[in-house]
Amino acid sequence: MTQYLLQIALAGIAQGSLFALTALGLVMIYNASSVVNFAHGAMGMAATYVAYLLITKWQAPFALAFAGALVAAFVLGVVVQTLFLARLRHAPLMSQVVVTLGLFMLLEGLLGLAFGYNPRPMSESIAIKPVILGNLVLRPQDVLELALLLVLGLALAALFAATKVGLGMRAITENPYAAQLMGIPVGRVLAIAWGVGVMLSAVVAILAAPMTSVTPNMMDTIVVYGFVAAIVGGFGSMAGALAGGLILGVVVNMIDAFVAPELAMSIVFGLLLVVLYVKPDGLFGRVQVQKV
Amino acid sequence: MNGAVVRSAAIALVVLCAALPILLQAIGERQVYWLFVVSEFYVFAIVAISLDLLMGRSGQISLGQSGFVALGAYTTAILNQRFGVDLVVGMLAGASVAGLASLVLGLPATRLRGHYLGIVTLGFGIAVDQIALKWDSLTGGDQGIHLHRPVALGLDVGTPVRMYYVALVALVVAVLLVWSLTQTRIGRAFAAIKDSEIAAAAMGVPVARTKVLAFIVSAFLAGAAGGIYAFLAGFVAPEDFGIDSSLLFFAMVVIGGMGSIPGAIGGAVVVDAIRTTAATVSGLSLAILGGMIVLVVLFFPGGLKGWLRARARRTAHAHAPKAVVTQDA
Repeated sequence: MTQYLLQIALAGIAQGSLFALTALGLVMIYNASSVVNFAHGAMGMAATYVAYLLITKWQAPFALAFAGALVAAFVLGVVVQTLFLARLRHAPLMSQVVVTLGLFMLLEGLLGLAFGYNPRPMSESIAIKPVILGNLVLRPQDVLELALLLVLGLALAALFAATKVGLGMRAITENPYAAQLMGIPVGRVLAIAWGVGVMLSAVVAILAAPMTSVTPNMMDTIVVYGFVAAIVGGFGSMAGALAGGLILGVVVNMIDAFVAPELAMSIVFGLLLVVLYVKPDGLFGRVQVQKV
Repeated sequence: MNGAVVRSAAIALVVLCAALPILLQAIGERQVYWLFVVSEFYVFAIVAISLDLLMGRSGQISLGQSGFVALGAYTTAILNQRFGVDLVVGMLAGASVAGLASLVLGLPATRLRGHYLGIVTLGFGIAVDQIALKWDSLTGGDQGIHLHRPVALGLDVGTPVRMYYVALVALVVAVLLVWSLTQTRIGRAFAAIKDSEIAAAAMGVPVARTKVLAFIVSAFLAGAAGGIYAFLAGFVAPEDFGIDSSLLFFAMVVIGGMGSIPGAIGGAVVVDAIRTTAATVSGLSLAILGGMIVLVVLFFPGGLKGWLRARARRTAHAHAPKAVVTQDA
């Protein structure tokens, strides 16, 4: 029994890394531009179609297709920020949320028009062997998800700690007006934050594609769990988003194994309400004090 | 436009709507079909008004409005199927259940930052859908529930024409209810919170309580619409109330122009028309509506209502006598 539990928890952590990466992207965009990006999953999905086309139409090797999708994701993020959200920088919060929801519908609709809603298969990306830890097994996709979370987590930490762009993002989170006065090119830094954030979503979508298939709504479930992970983590803390995602992965896998997979999201939202009752700023969030 | 003009225009519109069954019969159009289409539209318009009350008046977002519609519809359907409950009683029961659910959701979410309610209601919409499918001893699962012939206050309303009038009356009542609410102290409190929560709190508006109240009234109306929908369709099943329909209601409010009852109804007309005509091509209506939402936010923040008003002002300006202008200068 213990071994069964541990095995489920391990698979949960691996699946949770997808939620964590989604939440990291959401929080990164939120911290820089104070926008909750409801089009996050759809933008990652759109980039996945680039990889899909490169692989099926032009027989590109996986690594090239992956890189192509990441470039597309970065460009999409930059375009959305500079073309749409930069114009709404001083508009009410409502307008910013509404425009990302509109983009979500637009992207899903356009890709549905172009490719239809029939799921298109995407084969396993990289051939790796399962890893055996004692009497626990890590499936190849688990290994890949955990490895990418580790690599990207470290890369993000390095970005924020050691690069000018990362420092700029932190300064903008702290105080956008002062950041501008200090000579930080706010527009450019925001565009990069959006680009990198959407790249994270694309990574998740491509990792998930062998399981979900490539469809316009492939990211809908994952991105909702990403929102939950970000809220649990305090919506603003990168470490919180990471922890929230991993915990949520374990919870979802436990529900799938012991309760009912078809009720997973309902139960998760029930738990989220309880968390919000008890700790309104999430499990890892700082208490927010609004300045007037 | 002044109040009197708006009022007489509204009354004329209601009279026209009331005459529709007779007009359809006179023209010899497919009366039953068109009556159902328009009745269904009235129900959608009630939901759009309920969502506009939340988004347009109090500045909160719900992405799960169809979850409240579903709660109302299922409550009504279950009560009717098991106990043969009357239309009005069933509708009020459905509305109350939806209102209660919103209280549970709203208590934590409305105390928090703005986008939390959007995400929590999104999850609520999904959860209602999942539970309705899973709990088949109560809801009939994907088989749904068939209702008995509707009776309202002892009156048999089981014909398309009579159900049409039920839906029309419900829409008129909803409009009057929301309109009078906006004229009260509570309505002004909603507006104050929408402008600035901090300023509203400083003026003595109890922010959290008022936000929850807006949420409850909105859910109550959506639940009532669900109850009427159940009787109109005669059948309730989970696929009527997915995320897709929540997004449709959202689109109605944004495209129509937030914070206005005529805007919400106009938005419902536009969105319902697009939804029906573009239904055969998958993805088309979603793409059109998404594109329209983006354009509205970027270029026409007032939506359909704001655009029409600006046009009216421009034409009035163009027709103004030139001499007056030069005299002013």
